[in-house]
Amino acid sequence: MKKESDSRIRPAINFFFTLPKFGTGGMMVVIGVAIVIILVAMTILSPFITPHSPIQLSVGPADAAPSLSFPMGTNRLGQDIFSRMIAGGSTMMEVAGLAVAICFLIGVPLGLLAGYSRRLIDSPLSLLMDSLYAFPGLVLAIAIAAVLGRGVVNLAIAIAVVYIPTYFRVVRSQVLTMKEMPFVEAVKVEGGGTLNILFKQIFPNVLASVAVIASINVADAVITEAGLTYIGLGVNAALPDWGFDIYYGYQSLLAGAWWTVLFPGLMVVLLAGGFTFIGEGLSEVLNPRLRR
Amino acid sequence: MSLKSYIITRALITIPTVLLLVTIVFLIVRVLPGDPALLHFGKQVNPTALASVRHSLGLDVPIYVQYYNYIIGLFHGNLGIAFSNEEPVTPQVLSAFPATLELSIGSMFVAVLVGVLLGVRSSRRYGSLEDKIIRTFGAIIYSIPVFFLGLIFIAVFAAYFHILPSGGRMSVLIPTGGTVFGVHIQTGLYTVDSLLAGNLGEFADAVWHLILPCTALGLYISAVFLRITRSNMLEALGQEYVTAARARGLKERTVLYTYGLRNGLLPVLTIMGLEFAGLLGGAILTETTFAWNGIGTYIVTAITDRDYIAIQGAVVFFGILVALVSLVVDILYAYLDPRIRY
Amino acid sequence: MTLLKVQGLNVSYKTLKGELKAVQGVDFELEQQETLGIVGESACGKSTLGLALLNLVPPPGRVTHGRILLEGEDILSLDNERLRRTRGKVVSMIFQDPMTSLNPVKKIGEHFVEAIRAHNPRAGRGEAVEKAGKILGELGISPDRMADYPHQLSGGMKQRIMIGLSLILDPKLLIADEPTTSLDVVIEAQILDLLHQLKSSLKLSMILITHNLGIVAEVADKIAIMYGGEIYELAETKAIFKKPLFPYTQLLLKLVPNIASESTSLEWIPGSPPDLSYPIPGCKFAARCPFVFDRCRKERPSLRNIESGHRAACHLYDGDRK
Repeated sequence: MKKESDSRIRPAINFFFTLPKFGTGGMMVVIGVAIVIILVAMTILSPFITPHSPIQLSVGPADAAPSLSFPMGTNRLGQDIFSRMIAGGSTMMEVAGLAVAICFLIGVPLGLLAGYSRRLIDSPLSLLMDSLYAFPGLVLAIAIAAVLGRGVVNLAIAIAVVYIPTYFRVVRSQVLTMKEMPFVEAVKVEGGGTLNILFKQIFPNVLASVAVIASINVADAVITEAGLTYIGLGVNAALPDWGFDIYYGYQSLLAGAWWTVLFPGLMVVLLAGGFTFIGEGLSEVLNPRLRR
Repeated sequence: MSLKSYIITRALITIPTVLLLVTIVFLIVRVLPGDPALLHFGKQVNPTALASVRHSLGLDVPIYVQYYNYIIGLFHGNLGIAFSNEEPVTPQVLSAFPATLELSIGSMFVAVLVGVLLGVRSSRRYGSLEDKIIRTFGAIIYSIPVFFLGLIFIAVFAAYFHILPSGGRMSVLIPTGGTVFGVHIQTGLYTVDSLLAGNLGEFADAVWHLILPCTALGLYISAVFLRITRSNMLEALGQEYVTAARARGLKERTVLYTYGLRNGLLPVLTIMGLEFAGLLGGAILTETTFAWNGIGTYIVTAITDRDYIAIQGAVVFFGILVALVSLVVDILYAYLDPRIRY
Repeated sequence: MTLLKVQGLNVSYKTLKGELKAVQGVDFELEQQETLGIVGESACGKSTLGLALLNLVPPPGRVTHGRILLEGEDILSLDNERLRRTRGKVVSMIFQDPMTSLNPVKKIGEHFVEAIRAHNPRAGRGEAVEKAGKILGELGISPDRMADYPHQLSGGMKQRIMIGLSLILDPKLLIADEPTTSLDVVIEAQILDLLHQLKSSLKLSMILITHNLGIVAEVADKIAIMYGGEIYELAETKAIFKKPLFPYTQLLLKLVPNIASESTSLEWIPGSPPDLSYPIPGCKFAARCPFVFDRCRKERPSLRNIESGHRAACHLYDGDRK
């Protein structure tokens, strides 16, 4: 008799290479991953590839328009924007990455727990998460960040708290559906314990949805981090940071120096966009709408 | 269950949710290692002065007493006393609210219009190039921080073309409102106030100032509407009852509207409720960009001043507002979709 | 005149893998008051065929070839408005899953009024409701049900309502796509009975699409066996059961469990249906046919009259076997 616990687990790498066959969705994932890899590589290699030092002041005239020596112009402090663009992503990536990691490590297990347990554990958890979820995300993040203060970890925590309910809800609802399914029954009948069921059977199937959520989450985290920096809750004004540059460029913008704001903004859009593409593409690939 | 009992049940659930929310905010502010007052005033302040301020603000009692006072205060609509000016927070928040409200309504309008129209169009032409373009547009818009979008708008329309204002709500005088049935009403919503006074010039000015911020914030939110509408419409139109309806010879227009749209758009209503929360968050950033005197600016100023009580008050206000809106939306949805009432 | 004449019908779907030929070269006729049963496995194209008869094949599918002559007029060449008026009034359809065939946010009564009004805009609401009530009564459903929403009714009731909806405009032809597959056996019997009655009381022609030979034995005058998108055998019901010509048909008949037989194990046909996204030369059943020979794999057999109206597409009856 065929073992019913053969759930749809595919080795991730194989999966990746078959993506282009999946039409629009697959293409979106590929594009998204490409963008992200390029940006991350660029940031890691930044100490070696920036033409000027990104933090040095007055490398050129203040608010100078893009030219050959400064392809993206300079900002009010005379810093080379091009170099700052190459190096400016690190804070954002750290914060976003950390935030998603926290969300994942807290949200998913809690979701599994709530979905699988009795009402006694599930109800209060769900109530807590629903309250958090209903809260305007950015407002909550602002409140927490304002309270905790600056710093990569603090910012990551602020953002994470806002998104944990999303992971929780999705995982929980999937668990609720899945725990009634035949393949779980089959494992129970064969004597599988709760932990086995949760981790070996349910979790891998939930992973697909979580992957989609995580991608969109990173995109949101990037944008939220930019937002928090914009209102002054950013990490460290000394390090090059795209979010900070947008904030700082406002004055120059009104004077006509559009490049001080455009380029850092575009970088944020690129990074967030890359992850959004991955998320949307994955969502289409994993939930195919073509029904024949 | 009937509509009435659903309403009652749903309304009752709101109470513990709000309570929990309010407690969370309280805890967040108190999570500060150290004393909120001290952090606000800094170390240079005279200890006696600090002690008296703390006393007048009710901060020198044990934390559970503070919590009790806080909750009781909320029932009376008292959001606390701000550090920065030692004035009650509630009136400050309430006076800043209309600006945010106007911005929110205008933006939601833009968001639904753009998102739903594009979503429907995209679903009707499933798989075509137009569909792909619209979806890519949606994904890109979703990735643009709202303040960046706002800054671009300012750069292009205000700084470059000079056809729209770069900020603020009015150019000259604030509308004072008008008289209705012998009662003078001033809502703080400039569009409404100017209409009440019958002053079209004021009205046009207010709208003029609303265009850029509402479009920026609206576009930012529209991405979600686009995605949800498209996916719901695709699902609705692919349902068997649509094919069955066509098989009965119903007009295509009837099929599209009563079978497709009606079923596909219901969730949009819920999304409107959910997105309202995101809208408020985005409003904070938009207000900062456009020098808009709403609650958003109030919060940001409070952050700079490290006025934690003011932050707490404004955040609680937002939270309760969102809970109420969500309640209304849920009831509306239950009215429109008979299946929800179990 | 012949009510329905289908000539050389081809329907294809555009998929990621290429062009999937769901229906290929289908020919058949249906007279007034005749019932045709179309029998085949899942994904053999029979549902697509049913939809095509109303020109309702959803994209990415479309009819690529052929004519469907309903009372002499080609359905496929009608403009949208005339097509719409034909649907429901001349030919109508009921679907497999009654759960999803009704609009969840409309009351039952509304469905009827809407259908009547779509074809007669001047019909009064009162008379429409009356008419609906009458037909529901004939189907065994109390008129009070008209104020209910679909989710408040059982599967059997919903299917009866679907039948009512499809007959309220007095069509000449009813296409029933797996009308009882999602219902339990008891309800199934009731529905089949109902269809049988309606056949004679309303002088209705029917096309019954199913995978279950047992059902068509009761209701159908003639049966078409469909496989891989093509019709391989077409004959009167009695003839099919007495002397099935196409090997697949023979195997299908063996599959019906018979209490009287002595064997205690269930039979099945080895292999699986062909993947229609790849073109298959020759007979589509060749891979699973117990009587297959060389020619079967190379040349497509055509549906021909083998004896007195009993048609089959099989090289076994061709004279020369190689």
